[in-house]
Amino acid sequence: MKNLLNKLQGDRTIWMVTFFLSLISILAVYSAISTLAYKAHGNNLRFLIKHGLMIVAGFGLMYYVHRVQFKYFARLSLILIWVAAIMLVYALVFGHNLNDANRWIAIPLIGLTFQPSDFAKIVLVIYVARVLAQKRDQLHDFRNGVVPVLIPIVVICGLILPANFSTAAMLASITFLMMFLAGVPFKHMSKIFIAGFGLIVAIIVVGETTGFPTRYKTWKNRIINAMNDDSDGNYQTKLAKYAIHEGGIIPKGPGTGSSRNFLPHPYSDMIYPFIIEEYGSVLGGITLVLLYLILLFRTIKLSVNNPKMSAQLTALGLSFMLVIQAFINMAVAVSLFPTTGQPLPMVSMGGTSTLFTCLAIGIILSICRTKDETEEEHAASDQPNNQVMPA
Amino acid sequence: MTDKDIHNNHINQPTSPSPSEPRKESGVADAPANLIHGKAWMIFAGLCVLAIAIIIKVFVIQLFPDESAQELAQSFTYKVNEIEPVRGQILSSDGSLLATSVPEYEIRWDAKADYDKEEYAAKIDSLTLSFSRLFGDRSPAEYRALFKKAHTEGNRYAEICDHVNYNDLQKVKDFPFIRKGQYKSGFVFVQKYVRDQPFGTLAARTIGMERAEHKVGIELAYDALLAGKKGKQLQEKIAGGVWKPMSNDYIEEPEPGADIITTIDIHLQDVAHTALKRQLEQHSAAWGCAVLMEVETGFVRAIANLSRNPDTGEYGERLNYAIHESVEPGSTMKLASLMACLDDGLIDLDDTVATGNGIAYFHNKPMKDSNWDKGGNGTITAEQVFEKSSNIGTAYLVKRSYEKSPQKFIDKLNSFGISQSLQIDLAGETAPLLYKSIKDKGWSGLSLTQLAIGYETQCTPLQTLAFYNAVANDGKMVRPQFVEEIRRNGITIEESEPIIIKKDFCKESTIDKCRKMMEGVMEEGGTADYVFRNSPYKVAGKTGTAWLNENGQYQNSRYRASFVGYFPADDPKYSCIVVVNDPRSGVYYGSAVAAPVFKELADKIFSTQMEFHEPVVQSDSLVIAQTRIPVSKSGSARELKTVYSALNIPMNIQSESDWISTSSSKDSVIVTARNIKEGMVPNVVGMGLQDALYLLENKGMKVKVYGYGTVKRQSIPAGANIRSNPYITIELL
Repeated sequence: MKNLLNKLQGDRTIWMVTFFLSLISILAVYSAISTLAYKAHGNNLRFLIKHGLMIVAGFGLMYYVHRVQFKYFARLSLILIWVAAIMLVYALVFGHNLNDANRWIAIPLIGLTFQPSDFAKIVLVIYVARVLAQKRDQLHDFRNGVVPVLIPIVVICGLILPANFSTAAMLASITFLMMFLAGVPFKHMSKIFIAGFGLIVAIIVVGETTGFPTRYKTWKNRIINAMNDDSDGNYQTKLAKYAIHEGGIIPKGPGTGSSRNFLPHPYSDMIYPFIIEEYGSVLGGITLVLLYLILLFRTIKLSVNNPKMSAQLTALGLSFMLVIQAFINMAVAVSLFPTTGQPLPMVSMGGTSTLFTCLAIGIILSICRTKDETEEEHAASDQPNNQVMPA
Repeated sequence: MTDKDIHNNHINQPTSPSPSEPRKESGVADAPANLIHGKAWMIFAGLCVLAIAIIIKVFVIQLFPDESAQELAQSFTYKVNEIEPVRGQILSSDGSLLATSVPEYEIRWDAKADYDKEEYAAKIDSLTLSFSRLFGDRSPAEYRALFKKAHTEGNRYAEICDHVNYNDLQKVKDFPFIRKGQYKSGFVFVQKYVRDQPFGTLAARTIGMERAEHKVGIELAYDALLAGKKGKQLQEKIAGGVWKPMSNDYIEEPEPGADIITTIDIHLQDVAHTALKRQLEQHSAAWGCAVLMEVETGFVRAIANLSRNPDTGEYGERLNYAIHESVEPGSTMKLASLMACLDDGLIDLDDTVATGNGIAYFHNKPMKDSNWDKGGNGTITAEQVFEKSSNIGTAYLVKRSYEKSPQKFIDKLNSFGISQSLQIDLAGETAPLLYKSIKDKGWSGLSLTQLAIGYETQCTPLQTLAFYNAVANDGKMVRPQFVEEIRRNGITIEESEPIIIKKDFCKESTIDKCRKMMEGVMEEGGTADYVFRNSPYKVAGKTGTAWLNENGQYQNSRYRASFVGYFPADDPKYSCIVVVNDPRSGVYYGSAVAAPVFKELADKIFSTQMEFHEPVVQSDSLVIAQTRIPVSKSGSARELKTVYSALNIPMNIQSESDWISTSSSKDSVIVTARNIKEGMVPNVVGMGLQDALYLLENKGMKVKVYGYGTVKRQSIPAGANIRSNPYITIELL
């Protein structure tokens, strides 16, 4: 054990946060899953074991990844961005249809499915970080500095968009933040912002006139529902409100949440209200928010130690992605935002999504630990022109 | 330390305030990192604000609950559910189940359920094939189309099958795809209760139907009692969408429906149904009915109403003719006519009347007797008028008695109660039609004589029966009843008593005279003299053969045959009416078409009910007359000995064993032992099937049986080793 702990590098705090999140996840999912388990002929354990295995595998992956130097990821991203794009196209055409959204690809033989967008998110963040670092001196030049960054963003987000608007929008926002961090001038940023806004308007126009993409109706309904409090479709958030209210300040106790019987997806999208119902607003509600903030705080604080700009941007991009996704999920649950299908990273039962979350945290850990180990490479490491392959 | 503090510390420490572009070609990472991190902390601050907003919103929701959200969630969690009571059963008087509620299922499919799409695609062929094989109502392709349609429509409650019984449902649950689990496959099995009549069409119309929109018979008459009362209970929704009671308490306790014990005797009903059906089939009649009633109580023991389905030609229970069909009674009315004359002292049984050659004219209209073509009846007594069912005789007698004051005749008939409804429990009784006054519309000079022989008046078969029953019941008219007892949870809550609707019917002497006339019908010279000639019981009754009246026109050679009466004539226990409408076989007399049904019922009652039999007198002469001791099959010693000793038959026991052979001698039964040895095939020749099977199967043998009676041959001889061949065939003869 001690041996293992010694081998454990990177920030202990981030490790602890991840561990606590997964602990909460196991407890909440076990309780919330009972309805689903009932429907599958009373086999509660099957879901729990599957989820547990996913978390164990995730930690294994995290451990392995965090020992790999960032530069390898950076190089891999050059190839993987293409892989991601191909997989997204594949999912759009052949993917599993769930709720009219072609988001899933089945992995042959092992019977698992995964969302290529989960994979593409990480790859795009690394790739964009790398290009931004590479072009750091030309960012004032829109054509030569900003456009090479924008192209992969537009392509990847564009491929995610038909099936999953909120993920595409979130990923676009994260990369937008990364450009902001990397120092893209304000005038360019505003151009991009206006273009993005224009795109949304275009989608609305196309959607209203042609009914394409197929998910357009769902998006529209959700936004209308969020604004119209009495609408029937808004009942998800009403039920979430009920669960939060039932929770109170003092914990009710694990396994007592009655909202699992009616709350849609109490083990994934709506797990936050469910946790509040069982653990109270203080122990459940505030703790979860704090855990994500600590993760972000540690990442910002420690990534500065990594001398490479691409690494810093990657760590920040990934941690922002995790935390923003978490806060979107929570904001939806407390009816601050319109309904989207974003799960709570590390906490929701999401099958292979957990693995990708662990991969992201592993990369963050790898970047944050670089200080102690990479002293010797330090001098050579941040010479962008030496390392970047011709694009 | 709050989030804000962290943020502030760091934004001040490492950041260089310079907003300049990142340095070019820098070997040192710190400068852009500082710049990057300064902005990162800004975003962090923004996210802290969002975090705080989320937490504040959580507390807001907790402090100010959304009422509508509460209600919505409650509706998912708690509900006052109605508890449907079980509808009561309808039983026959001997305890057989006539109507009961049995569960049946509707199979529906949720096309948008969260089922495995690949599994569905892989199994849909075998699934539709299974459906088609089990139910056979649609081809696999048609079933497939059903699923496909549901899928394209996004139907969440598509009907696949209806009226599926419990056994079939169990098979459906094991179909491919559904086997994965009801919820996992999107299938929903909706349970409903339907009324089942285990005896099929027996008395079906009287028992009635129970459909929401159309109830008849006892189901309708006793609906409120049968239905029970819905209960209310607070229930909680648990996993899987199942509602579970919060506690064992009810807000309102459901009251189960009461059980109705009818007066119907299922065995007599069976006889009535079968006999009537045979008669209708034989004579190709349009419809018919048979009602058997207990004289003293008015309890209806059997009521069969059969009519021909014009499409299939089959007879079934469709309308309750006995209660509903008001028709001109014809000859059966003559009892009332002559009863009026007798009771008013205007005629006596010995009075003679000249009926002539069988044709007489009243107001220039001819009236014929049935034997007019054979020269008529000549001059006969009033009693003979009835026995021979002479129309002319009856008409003359009534005309002679009441010609001057026909109103008195009408008043007298009305006083018998035959103009009033019986007000039975069942709905649909038609009120009788009878003149109240000679000023009534339709009354003419012809009416008096027409009325006397049963025209220009209408009543239902049951009303006619009630009148005849009153004669059998010493002048007490009782209301026909269909329900004997009402029970709830096995406890009697109501028991039917005989209801007398008319007491001082007529003079006692008149009753005696009427009964004498009715008995005469079965005697030499009566219209039904041949029917009961060999019957061990005595019947009193009247035949009826009325012309059919369609649209106000009497139809040539189309008749309604009837027979009404009671038995045993000396001490009436049962009365019965049989009506056969429009027989087309050429035979139409009540005695030939209707009376046989009466006879079959009477035979059945006589042969099965002990009260009709005098106890056999124990006398020596009987034993002496018995020259031989009865023979019995071989078999169990204990049982045979019990029977012989109970019958006081002497036994000559030659050897003892559990299994014996018997043979009879002149004065005793010779009993010899049969030795049954372990491991050997026993000798079962001479035994009955029960004993033979018991013996052989107890030895572990597999037995095949042919024939009936006593074992004549066994395929393996006695004494053979069982182990070598345990399969044995026995032949009975």
